[in-house]
Formats: sequence, structure tokens, C-alpha cells
Amino acid sequence: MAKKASAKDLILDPVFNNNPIALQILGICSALAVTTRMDKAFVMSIAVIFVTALSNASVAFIRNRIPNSIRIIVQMTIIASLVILVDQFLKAFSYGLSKELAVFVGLIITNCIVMGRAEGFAMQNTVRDSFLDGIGNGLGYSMILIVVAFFRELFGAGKLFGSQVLPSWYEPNGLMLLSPSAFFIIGFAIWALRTWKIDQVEEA
Amino acid sequence: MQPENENTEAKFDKDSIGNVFITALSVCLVCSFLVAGAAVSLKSWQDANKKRDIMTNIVRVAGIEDRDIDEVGSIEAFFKEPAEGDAKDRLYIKDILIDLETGESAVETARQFLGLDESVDEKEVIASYDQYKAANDNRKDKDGKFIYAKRLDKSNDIAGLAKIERISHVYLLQDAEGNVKKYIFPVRGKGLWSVLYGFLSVEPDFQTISGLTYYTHGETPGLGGEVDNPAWKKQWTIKENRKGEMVGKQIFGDDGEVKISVVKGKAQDDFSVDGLAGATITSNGVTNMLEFWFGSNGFKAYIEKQQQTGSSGDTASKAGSEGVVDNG
Repeated sequence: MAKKASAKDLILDPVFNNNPIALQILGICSALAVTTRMDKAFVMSIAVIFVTALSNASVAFIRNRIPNSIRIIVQMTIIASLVILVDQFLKAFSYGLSKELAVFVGLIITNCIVMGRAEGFAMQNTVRDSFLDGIGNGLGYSMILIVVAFFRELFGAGKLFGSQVLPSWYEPNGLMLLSPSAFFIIGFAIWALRTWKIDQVEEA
Repeated sequence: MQPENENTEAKFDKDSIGNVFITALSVCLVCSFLVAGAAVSLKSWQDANKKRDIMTNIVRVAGIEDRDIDEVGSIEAFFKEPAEGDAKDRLYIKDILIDLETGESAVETARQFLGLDESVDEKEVIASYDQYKAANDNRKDKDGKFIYAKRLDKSNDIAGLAKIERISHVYLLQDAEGNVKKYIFPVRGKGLWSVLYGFLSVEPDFQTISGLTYYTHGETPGLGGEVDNPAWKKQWTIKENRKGEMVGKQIFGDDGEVKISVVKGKAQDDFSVDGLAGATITSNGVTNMLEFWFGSNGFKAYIEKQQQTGSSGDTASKAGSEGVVDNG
């Protein structure tokens, strides 16, 4: 039986100590596509935090009722409905961004982080803990996304949040706008994180 | 041991068949309510956004830049009739309805389609008419023909639309005196996975393309979806060459037939546009839809009518024979 985790631990642990992207290596796909600009990364982060927190809470709420035979499908239904909700909101209040993010909002359903936490945490923990864990993992994902987007938009376009930051003599680095650059930056982020937190380095 | 928070229903078997059905049903019901509720309550905002997006696309394909929009104030302002005090060269977009078969104005028929009475202003009728809804309309006249739509037979249906509307919007970019600078036509056609909906803007000579843009489609991102790539779209945009002339892709060949096409590989002349790598079917779809909409089932009748009578005050189009535009 796990010790009763404090709210602070649940929210902050997944940001540096147990980052879903950097340590668990989950949810990388969308990290490649939506990090070309800060505003896209930001909206995607909010969407993932929202979905993960609420799906965790919902699954935890009915965890003692869900039959084992349909466990995964029930989790998926809940996650999918929440993602559709997010998509509808975006289409209503931020149409331009919803067109930019296009399929990637829908692909949150397939994001391993959401399903992973639902199955791996929410099924065994209380609603409150699961909700906070969802926020924490969403925050961990967001941190990586925003770091990657920061570098990609800055060096790929000279801008941050759409405003020109680097002076006009800066020639934008086209590689930064292609997906592989996101891979490189994530790699560097993992390296940096493991230099800081030595215990994350795996045994050879 | 912490006391259980839940009721200890001692004999509750969560894996029983009954519970499987109950849980599945309950989850489905709750989720459906949530999703449907959101969709229904947010619909008005979403529709307004879609409308605005279409207006933005029309304005952009007409070559209007951000600074012009800022000058006027908003996208919606571009669609308003110029007021008394406005500068004579202020551009605005006029939305008209035309009968595709005759090329004539079709506001009254649209009024019937919408079921609006005489008291409704013409501009409202035009603004309310949705040509894609009309394409699906099934009302028939006494001869059994669709009143507001037209079924296409296989030989005519180049763009894979099966059934199209009889009345279409056309958008005119004109100045306060009524001189038309550009004609913007709504075009659509089947790609690989979806119908691509967009706008094509044409110079007043009805021969030179000014721009092409798609505002909605479901083609594969990175392949057919490259129709949205600014680099590809740029090929359709009219530009100034080194001599200072405006050059753009040409629609009709010398024989009066639609010659513009998306070719495999690199474009060779003004009648071709680079193909989309790995997206043959989408590329063919673009070619086909242009061939369709500038053919006899599309805007050809309207174009010929404009060329013969000349649109109000437009001095660029000269009376010429069907489809062939004097390059002299």
C-alpha cells in the first residue's frame, strides 16, 4: 500500500523526478509536431493537463466498478470523450489554433501518457490523488513541450509567441522547423535532466 | 488499516455479466451526453468561426494583405458596401448569386429555396444562401428534375461531386465605383480521402489566375495536405516579373478548353503547376476540379456572359468569343 502522497509531491514529482517524456519516454509523437511554435505547444499543454487530470479523476471515481474485461475500453471511452470536448472548445473559441493543431488534438487520445496514468495510477488510487497525478504528469509533459518549442521557435523563426525576438540579421535555422530537431532537443533535455538528477541514469 | 471509504457491498461482483452491461451502458450514456451537450451548446460559436474563416480565405485569395485589412478594420468590414464618404478606390467584396446554367443573377430563385418572402432584403438572401446545402436538396419539379440541384452523369462528373447546386456564390473584389478587380469563385472537388473546398481568384480577363486556397479538406498531412503549403500556394499567386508585368497561371488554352493542370514533377509553363510529391490523386483532384468549375457545368456560362456584356464599368474584359481571351 503506497504511502499517502502529499499534493505537492503528486503535482511536482512528474515534472523533474519522474517526467513522462524524459524518464518514462511516453508521449513523444505530439512533442515533435506541435512544438514548432510556443503558442501551439502552450495550447497543447493545457489540453493534455486537462484531459489527463479529468480522465484520471473519472477513472479513479469508478475504479471499483469497472469490470476487468472492458477495463481498457472504458478508460478509452472516457479519454476520447474528454478529448472531443477539448476539440469542440478549441473550435469554438480558438478556431485559428484548432486548425493549426489539426489532428494532434485528436491524437491526445493515443497519447501514452494519458492511458498510461489511467491504467497505472488511477485504477489503484483515490480520486483526489489521481486528479493531482494527472495534473502533475500533464505539467511534466508541458515542461518538455515548452522547452522544445522555445528553442525551435527561437532558432527556427527568430520569434517567440509570434513576435520577432532575434534581430533581422538572424537567418532562421530551417532544421529547427523539421521534426528531427525536436528529437535532438528532447535528447539534450534528457541529458541535462540526468546530469542534474543522477539517480535517473539507468544501469548500463 | 484505513477504513474503506466506499460502501462494502460484500457480494458486489464487478466482473459479473450484469455489471459489464450496466457499466458499459452508463459510461456510454454519460460520455454521449457530455460530448453531444458540448457540441450543441458550442455550435453557434463554431459556426461563426467557420464563416469568418471562409471570409478570411476569400479576402486572402483576392490578394488582400494584412495591412489592408487593418486599414478597413476587420474582415467583416471588407464585405460591407462602401459608404458615402469612402475613398473611390476603396476595395470591398461583393457577394452575388448566379445561376450556373445561364450565368444570370439568381437571387429570386435563392429566395424561393430559402423560403423567404419579398420583405427580406436581397443582401440577406445572398448572405443566407448556402450552396452546399442546396447541392443536397431533393425538391423536384413536376418533370422530376431537381429544382435547386443538378445530378451529374459519369461523363460530366469530372470532380467527383455527383450532385451540385444550380445557384452558386461568386465574390467580386471591386472598388466603390463598381470596377471589378478580381473574381473569386468557390471551387471544390474530390481528392483522395475527401472533398477539398476552396476559392480560386481570377483576374478580370478571366484567363489569369490570381490565387488559389483551400479552407477545408481531409487529405493526408504531408502528402495531399501540402495543398496548404505556402510554397505550393505561391505558384498560383499572380506576381510581378522582372519587367514589371503581372504574370500568373493561365486557365484556358487557345482552343478555349481548360488547360491549367497540376503536372507530375515540375511545372513547364504558365498552364501548369508543380505536382505534389507522393500525392498523385490529390494533384489530379485539383486539376479535375478546375477543369470542372471552368467548364460548362461550372462558371463557363457566367464568364461568357461577363465577357460579352462586360461587368459594370470593367474595362479589362473585351467582348470576345466563348472562352478564348485575346492575348493581344
